[in-house]
Amino acid sequence: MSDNTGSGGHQASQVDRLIHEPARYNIMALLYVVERAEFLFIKNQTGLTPGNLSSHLGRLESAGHLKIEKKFIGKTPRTFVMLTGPGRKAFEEYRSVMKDLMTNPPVLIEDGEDK
Amino acid sequence: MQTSDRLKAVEKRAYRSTFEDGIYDIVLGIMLLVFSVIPVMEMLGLNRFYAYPLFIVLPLVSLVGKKYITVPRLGAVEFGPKRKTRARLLGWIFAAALFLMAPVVIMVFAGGMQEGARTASTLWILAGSAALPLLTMAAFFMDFPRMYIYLAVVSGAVVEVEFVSPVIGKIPGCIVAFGLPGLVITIYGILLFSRFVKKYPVPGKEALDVR
Repeated sequence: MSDNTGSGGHQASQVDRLIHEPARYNIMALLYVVERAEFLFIKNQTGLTPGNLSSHLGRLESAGHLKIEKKFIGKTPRTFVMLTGPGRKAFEEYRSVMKDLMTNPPVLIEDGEDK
Repeated sequence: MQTSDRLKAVEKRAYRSTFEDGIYDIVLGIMLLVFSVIPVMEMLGLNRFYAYPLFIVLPLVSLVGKKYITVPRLGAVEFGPKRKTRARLLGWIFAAALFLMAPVVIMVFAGGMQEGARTASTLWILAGSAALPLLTMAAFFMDFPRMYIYLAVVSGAVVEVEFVSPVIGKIPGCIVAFGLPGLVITIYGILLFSRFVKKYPVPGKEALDVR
């Protein structure tokens, strides 16, 4: 049996899998350090294709991590994205969990051994 | 939670990508080139003050370039409050500098070129000496490291022109001191600009609004 708890008390199962995906982590990290960014800017910074980025943004938006706003500049529709309060918290929590698990890796304990 | 070094690096990379277009480099290079052609203008009988409005127009051109070339290709972004405060502060500093320079401009263009020329020259020298601290502040507040190198070049040129001009003459002296570095900076800016244009082509509609 394995005890997958870091010494900070976090468990590997607490890792937010939605943010854990590398492309989504990059999107969240970028949006964490800026106030808001245009779809095009995020695409250029992350190197994702428009379709791929759109799908990741959709998933993060459904989870309530992001807010997506559409604006018309002239006749062109432009999409702006920003982190929501809960999204910001979720990202911080993710980082905290990961840091704990990385600095204090879970100890694997065989069945029958004392914890 | 404290922003880690890794996140700071993400922010810095995103911020500095807005300087990849080379527009500020081109503008600064052209400004130096203008300095170098001023003695040529005088030799041709043109008043040197005709060149000075360019020092106000060129920074405005860079803002227009950012708006119509850089942002449509790179995408718009709003950075955090720290960056905003620094940008606002820099804006105020430049506005104050323009306000202080306004009497010079008025004196030259409304008060008559020849009569005001002597006083205006003195004031322009003062304005010129203010340019170095202004550019230093710009480099610091904009977090634009290349600007420090350009500052060293400009400072060197100011000193150089004093030593070189008496030996080789005013026109060649200015060309060597301001023209050559100006040309190098402009060419570097153009190279950056062409690389930027290739790296970030004008996006199709699918890259602006997918969902």
